[in-house]
Formats: sequence, structure tokens, C-alpha cells
Amino acid sequence: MRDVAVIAFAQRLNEPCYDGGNDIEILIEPIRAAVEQSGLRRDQIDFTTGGSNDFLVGRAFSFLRALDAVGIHPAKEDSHVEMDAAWAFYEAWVRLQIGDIDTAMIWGLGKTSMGNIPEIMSLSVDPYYMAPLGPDPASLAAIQARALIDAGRCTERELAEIAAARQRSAVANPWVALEQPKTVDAILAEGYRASPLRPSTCPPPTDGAAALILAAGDVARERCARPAWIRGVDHRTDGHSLGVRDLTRSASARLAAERAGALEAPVEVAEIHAAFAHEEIILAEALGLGDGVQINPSGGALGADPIMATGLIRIGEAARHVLEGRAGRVLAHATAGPCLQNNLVAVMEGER
Amino acid sequence: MTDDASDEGADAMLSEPWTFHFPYTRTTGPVVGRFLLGLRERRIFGLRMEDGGVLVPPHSHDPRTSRELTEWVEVGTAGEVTSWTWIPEPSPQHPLDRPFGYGLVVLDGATTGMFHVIDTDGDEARMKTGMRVKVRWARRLKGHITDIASFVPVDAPEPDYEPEPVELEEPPTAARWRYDNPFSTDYTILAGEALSHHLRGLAEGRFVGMRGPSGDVLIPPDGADPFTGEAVTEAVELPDTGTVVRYCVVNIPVRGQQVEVPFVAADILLDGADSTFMAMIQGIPPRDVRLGLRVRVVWAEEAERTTGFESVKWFEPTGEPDRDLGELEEYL
Amino acid sequence: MSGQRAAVIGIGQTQLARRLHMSIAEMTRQAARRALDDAGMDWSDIDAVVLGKTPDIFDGHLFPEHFLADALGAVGKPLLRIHTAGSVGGHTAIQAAHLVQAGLFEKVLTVAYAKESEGDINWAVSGGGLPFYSPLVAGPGGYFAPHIRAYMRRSGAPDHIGVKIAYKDRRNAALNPYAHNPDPTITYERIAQSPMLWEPIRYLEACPSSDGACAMVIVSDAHADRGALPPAWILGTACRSEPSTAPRRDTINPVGGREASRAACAQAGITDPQREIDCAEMYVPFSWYEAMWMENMGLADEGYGWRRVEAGDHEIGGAMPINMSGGLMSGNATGATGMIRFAEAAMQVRGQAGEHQVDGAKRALGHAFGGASSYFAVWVVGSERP
Repeated sequence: MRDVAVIAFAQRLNEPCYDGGNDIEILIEPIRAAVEQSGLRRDQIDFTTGGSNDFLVGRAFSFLRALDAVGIHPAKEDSHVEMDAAWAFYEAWVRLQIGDIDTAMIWGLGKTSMGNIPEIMSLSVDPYYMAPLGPDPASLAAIQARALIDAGRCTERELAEIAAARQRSAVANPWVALEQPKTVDAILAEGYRASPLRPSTCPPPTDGAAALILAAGDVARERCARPAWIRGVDHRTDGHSLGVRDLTRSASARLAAERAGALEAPVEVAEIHAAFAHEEIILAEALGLGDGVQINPSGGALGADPIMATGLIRIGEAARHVLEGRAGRVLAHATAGPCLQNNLVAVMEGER
Repeated sequence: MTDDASDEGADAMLSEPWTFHFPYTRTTGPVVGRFLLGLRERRIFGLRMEDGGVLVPPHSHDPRTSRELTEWVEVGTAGEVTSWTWIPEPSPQHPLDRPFGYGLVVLDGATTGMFHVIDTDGDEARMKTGMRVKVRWARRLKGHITDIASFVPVDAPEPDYEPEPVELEEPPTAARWRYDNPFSTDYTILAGEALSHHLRGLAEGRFVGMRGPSGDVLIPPDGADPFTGEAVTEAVELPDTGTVVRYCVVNIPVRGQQVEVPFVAADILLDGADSTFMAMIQGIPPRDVRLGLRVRVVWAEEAERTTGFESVKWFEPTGEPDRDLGELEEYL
Repeated sequence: MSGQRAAVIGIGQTQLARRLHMSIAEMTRQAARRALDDAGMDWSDIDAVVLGKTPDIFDGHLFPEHFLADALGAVGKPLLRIHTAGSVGGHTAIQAAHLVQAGLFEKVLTVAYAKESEGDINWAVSGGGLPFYSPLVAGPGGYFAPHIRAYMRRSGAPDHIGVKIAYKDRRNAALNPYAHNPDPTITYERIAQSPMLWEPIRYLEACPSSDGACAMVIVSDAHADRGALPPAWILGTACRSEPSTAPRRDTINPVGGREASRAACAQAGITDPQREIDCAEMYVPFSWYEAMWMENMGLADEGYGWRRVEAGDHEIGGAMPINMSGGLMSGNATGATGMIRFAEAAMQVRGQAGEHQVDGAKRALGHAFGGASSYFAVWVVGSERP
């Protein structure tokens, strides 16, 4: 495997509704900041790719416009995934593995405030048997949370404790607009959104955008004091139907963790894409995160969930612990699909 | 002529509510079609999986091994709830307008859970993992997943109607089963900082482009300068006149266009702008339109002007001599 | 490009038509199953799956990779979904090749599809009344027609070139078993006399709108001989995007397309594509674009694309056969179209193209483009192991 590292990461403030610009303008600042941080000029970036979704902004081919903010003029090797930008990160890492280019930028765009996300997301499940019944992600997640409670793996109070802890971290995160964390009791006093999930154990509506820069080998070493070297990255999917899966486990997250080498040695920090509180419990088990692991010090997706960028932000937040010299080995996780269907795991380390 | 972006009512970033309507259809294929048409007869069918279990609702393939499944099995219309949620405040996307549950139901004879609605007359206390439920058929059976109106507790009384299959023009076949699946959802579309400058100009009957760090003036501006990736920040007022740099004659009616065919659609380079945009050309026979033709905008009547592209009715010749094409070569 | 050798050993397509008797899962599975059969493999042999399709707004299936995961044999495997406008089928195939070239996987299934019949592509492209949206003043073809006129002016091409290309493609489509409503009785005159829609584009110079799917199995060297037919070696892959709004962009001979072709050919060790490429499958939605893209891909000198057409070089049996399958005149299932071009190029060098086979084709180019002539994907495949 070729040595490839995260050398820069930037995001803009994650807030419920960014009304200072459209779905291009929201990308300008984080991309500029990531490029600056990397010390590269835009024309020195060999490959660009991103993750975004047309439905969020109501327009086919919305990513074509986003390219204006990427700055690829006159032409660049480039791609795009209609998935969380964490999968664009994977695509870029694969591209760098081939060995003929050295740098890549990945952008993620989550401008969610223009549309009705619960309605839009109801189109993302089985089109014949589920979508016509109108389920939103929270309803489906709640079925999984109930299964976990029924299995004796957690209580509603524990879910509230997870949410309260993540809110406290999110308040401390300068990139998240949340100002006041709720107490466990205040969360338990909230009504259900979809029982047993309450507003605070679900992700908050969020606008956000992020950009991350990868470099290989000596280019990374030249450009970055402490590159976050990617020791492994892998993603796996489960089948779709909730009624076929064991909802209390995530087989695909486990497999991805194994393939990414996450279980070979403990990590110090894990940024995991648990948008609903109970998902942390399932993922902590699947990813082998023991008691000593600091989980989601950024506040995670319970603090801010700019859909399509949330997973990339997990990778960037985890990488920052290495880039800033605060940790030697970290894990990042991203997910997509109902009830943790598709999972990506990346393991990063400082210089050994 | 430039004006500073910040003191020109820039606070008024344009946004507009918009309802997305799309008349999608769904083509089920023979397997999903057979299941849905079974519902129309108040029967539920599954497919035997490779591990011997029965998949309900079925797809053409095994959910784990992906191999094709062929052995149909009829299952019961009652079963057990294996997990569930309760929606206390339904929204318009939901199938019921009073509190209800969603759950996974393993029907008698099936081994997989079926996602559906669970209706306990608004009473969450009746929801239990392991509860026995039965199908409540819809009044009208259409060959659709909502032919199962919901699952209800097994001891719930029968409805006061006899479910009836909807009459079809010809006998349905599973393999060719399809139905309309319209989708609509509301957006609030935000024009963006740069585009708002331009759109506000349109409403006032003037063209406003935006200049970015590269020095180029873009119209309409999307927000970023494509040469640098940086924001375009300087609003630049442009004249009403420009030059045809590309065009074609359109001979078929275009959705949303009011003018008669044939008409000319042209890429127009406004004087002082660097990017082009497409507009109609009128006031000249299509045959006489040519590259380099000088044109001036015809604005919609003031009362009809909006912060939208419909404010530009079309362009007409100014009568000036054509531009020398040599000066335009980069655009041709 | 360095990296591990990769080869196409399985190709599957569905009929291009309105596919009202199958679901999306069944349609994509049909293509995938045919590719697996060609490769001598079963679902369980595959290590990873890469999927491409039309925009979700076109058919209203959001993130369809989720409900298709088990249909496409991806359970427990990586499943990646690419989305890059009309070129998506090409980008998707390239990503699948990259997984092998990067040494990460040995056997990758890649699938692309469109189910245009479940939506309304013209409505979707027109924006459906989206506020602040620049309307398509002239409809979809009206975007491209001015660029064709510009090409005619720049190159001096005469009016009939578009008809000549459409006539060749429609004849070739009649040799393609997957073609959408092929018509073996087509005549030059019928095309020339078909209604002029967006001058200079006539009705029969424009492609139909189809449902369809395409799949390929791409493997490492160790598995290259697994199928009954010889492999198509992937000699070069490249993709380029341009910012579609950049002023003074050359949309007739776009720099992104030129660079993609140059890069893919360079990887393949090709210095003179006109001599060393035996045939090409290109994304030509309106016939004139064949002449333009021949120049853009380096298969004709600048200004000579139409002259190669005039000389008949583009015919099967000509000096530079183009779109032996009929290209998009044999059907346009937008999400799959780019991959079909890539697959048809591979079929040529495997000797698998049946009635539209170019005798002795050793090296073929596959091309896809999208957006406002701003997304490009190219690959070069060959019969000889590099």
C-alpha cells in the first residue's frame, strides 16, 4: 500500500440554516481554507472529487455548478459520487494508490436547509415496499433503537446520556453553531420524534461543507509537519431490507473495520458517523472501540449533520488529532443508507 | 459602472418557495408485480430463500447470496411485530394523520420482517414487541403496497367495509405491472449572494454581472469565479446591448416558451461581459440571424418583470453594423 | 499510469428500449448476470461493485445503491456509486478499473443503468420550474445546436455531414442486437428529409431515449483468462472535467476531452492515435458530434473530422470505424450510455461484436462525455497483454 496522508482539512461553520449563500457559495470558504492549509496551489492538485446530492437542492447535475468553487480551470482529473463525501475520499485514496499522481482534494456539500429532508429521504428506501409508506430516516433508526433496547443493550436514559455528552462536545467545537447543551433530564423530558428517539437523540438539521486534501509520500512530508497517514480504509455494505438484517449489529461496519486494520491496535480517538444516539453503541462494538477510546470529541453527527458532508467531516476531525499532534492513531467512520446499511472505516496514524 | 455589493440592498438575498412535482412511475417487474397483485386479491406471497426461509415481501433474488429465487410460498395475513416505533406527530408524508406506528412484522409462514404501518387507533400503550397483528385491507385494492392499509392488533374489530379490487381496463399481468408514483415536496430555493445581484437587476430592467478575482465579468453569476474558485464580489452594471456569438434555429415548440416556431436561440455576449447566456432573438427573420449581429434586450413590461429570467423577453437587432468576427474569435 | 494490469473479461447488456416488464433490480441484474456468465463467474466471485446511473431526480430513486445492494451481489462487499453527468458510465468503469489497478481487488463488477421510462428526462433537464434557474430557451437539443454551427463555421464542414453520420449509425444500429427500434431499411434520404428540429439537427440525427443497463467484470492479471473469450486489456484510462461556466471555453474542441484522450493514449503507449487506434465508440447524442469528437479525441486532425466522415473512414471496414454499435442512435439510456461505449470498445478487441465487428481490431477507444461538454472519460483497450 502506498503511503497517503491527510495533509489539510477545513470546514465551514455547521449551522441549522446558512442563508449567506447558495450551494456553490457555501463551498468557497472551506475549499479555499483547505488549499491554503496544504500550501499547494490549486493547479498542483492532481485529482478532485466530491460528494453531494441533487435532491437536497432540487436540481439535477447540481455538482456541475459546484466545480466553479473547486477551481479546476482549465481542466482537471475529476470525479464525483452521489454518496457522502467520505466515499469520494475513498475514491481519491484509491486513485493515489495507483502511484502516478500525488495529490487530491475531496469536497463535501451538505446544504440541507432548502428542502424537506425527511420527505426527500423517504425516496432512499425500497421503492415498492417502503418508500410509498413515507418513512424518514428517524423512523427507521427508531426501529433499530427499539431492537437494541429490547435486546437489553441500552436504555433510553443511556441514549440521552450519549446525546448530552455529544452536545457538550459540540458546544466546545468552534465549527458547530450549537450554543447550549441539554442535560440528560432535559433530553428525557423531550417528546418523542419517533419513539424511542427524541429530537436530541436524532441529528440536528444542518448546513455545512468541508474540504480535505490528500498527498502521497514525500509530497505529504514536504507540505505537512505531521501528516495523518492512512493505514487502512475500506467500506462494506449490508443488504437493504431491515427485516432481513440483525438490526442490533452492524456486520458491514465490522467487516470494514477488519479490512481497514482497525482491530489490529487500539485507537486513541474515533470520529464515528452515528447520527442517532443508539448507533454509537452498535458501532462502538462493531469497530472494536474499547473504554479508553475518545469517541466523537467534535460532537459527531449528533452535534451537526450536514448530510453528504457528515462522513467526510468525521475523517477530517479524526485526522486533525494527528495533524495537530494530539493523537498517534485515530479511526474515522462514515455511514449511508437506512439503519447503518453501508459503512466506511479509515485508520490514520502519525509518523511511526 | 460598478457598485459596491454591500450597500445595494445586499441584505435581501433572494429566496423563493417552490414545490417540486414529479409524476414518476414505477415498473415492478414480475416478482414485485406478483406480490402487489396478490394484495389485490387479499393474498400474500413470498419466495423461498436459499437458507429455506421465506422472504416477505419478495424480490427476485436472495437477499444474502443474490441468486435468483423461484419457489413461491403463500403466507398468512397475521404475524408478530419484531420491532417498532411510534410517530406521535405525523406529517403530510405519513400515511395516517393521527399518531401511528411503523414496525417490522414477521407474517405467519414467513421468516423475514416486513416494514409497514401499525395502527392502534392512536394508542401507543398497545404497541409491544412480540404483539400479534393482522392485515387491515384498504377499502380499494389497487395492486400497491398500501393495499395493506396497516397492520392492526389481532383482536381489532373488522372494518365496516368490504375491501374491493379496483376495476382495471384489462386483466393485469405481474410482469407488466406499473403504477403512477407522483412525488412532491417543498423547497425554499436560495438564489445566492451573487445571483441575487443579477436577479434584482432583472426586476429593474437592467443587467448586473459579477466580477471575480480573474477580472472576468460573469452573467448570470453563480457565485464563484471558475478560474480561481474564489467568490465573485464586485457587481458590474452592464448595458442592454450585446452580440450574437452562437445560435441555432429552433423548429419545434419548447416547453414553457410562448413564441411561435421557428425562432432563433442565441448565445449573447453582452457588451462588457465575459460570459454568454442564451436568449431568443426576435424582430428579424431567422434566416437573417448571423454571428456578430448586434442586439438589444427587450424587457418584459415593468408590471410583468420579476427577479427571474422571464424578465428578458428576447433580444432584437439594434441596426448597428455587425461586430468584426475577428474580435470575437475566442467565443466562436 | 502505473499500477496493476486490469482486463475486462465479462460484458453484459440489456436491450435498449422502454423496459416496462422489468424492475430496475431485474434490469441491472440481467446485464450483470450476462457479464458474469461471459466471465465464467458467479455473484460470490466478485470482490467489489461500482455503480453508475442517471441523476436521482430523473427517476426519483434517491441513493438507489442501497436498495440495489443485494440485487447486485454487493452484500458484505464495497459498493461505490459514481455520479458525473452523461459521462457517468465511463467514470464508473474507470473507477472499477482503478480498484484493480490500485491492487486492492481482483474481481470487480461494474454496472450502469437508466430507467428513463420511470421519469421525464426533458422535464428534469428543464429544471421543472426551479426558481432563479436559467431556462433552457431552446430545449435540450438547442443547447448543442449552436456549438455544432460553430464547428461547421470553424471547420468549413458542409451541411450533409450530420446526415451522413446518422445514416452510418442507423445502419450500424441494425447490426446491434441490443439496439432500440433498429430499422434495417433506413435510407439516407429519410434522414435528410426528417424534420429539422434545432437547425442543423434533424429528427433522425438525434438519439432516442431508452431504458437499459450495461455491466462489466474487470479483473487483475491472475484472473484474465477465466472467461471463454480473450480479455480486453485496459491500456489507458483518463477523465477530465472543466468548469462549465468559464468564459471563452472551447466547447467545440474542449481541452478536457483533448487531455483525457492524450493521457489515456499515452498510458497505452500510443503516440499516433489515428494510426494506432483501430476503432472507437464515442458518446454522440447528435450525429454531428462524431466529427467534432473525432478531432477532440485525436482520431482526426483538427478541422478534418468531417473530412474523415466524407471519406467514409468512419464505416465498419473504413480507416477509422466509429460507433460500430450504432452509438447513441442504437439507444440512449443516459446513465448506461457511457459504459456501453466503453464495453463496445472492449467487445471489439475481444472479437465479440458479432455483425458489427471490425476485422482484426486490436486497440479500441471508448469515450463518454457529459455536462455542458465539460465532463470527459476515455479508455483505451487492447487485445494484447501490455
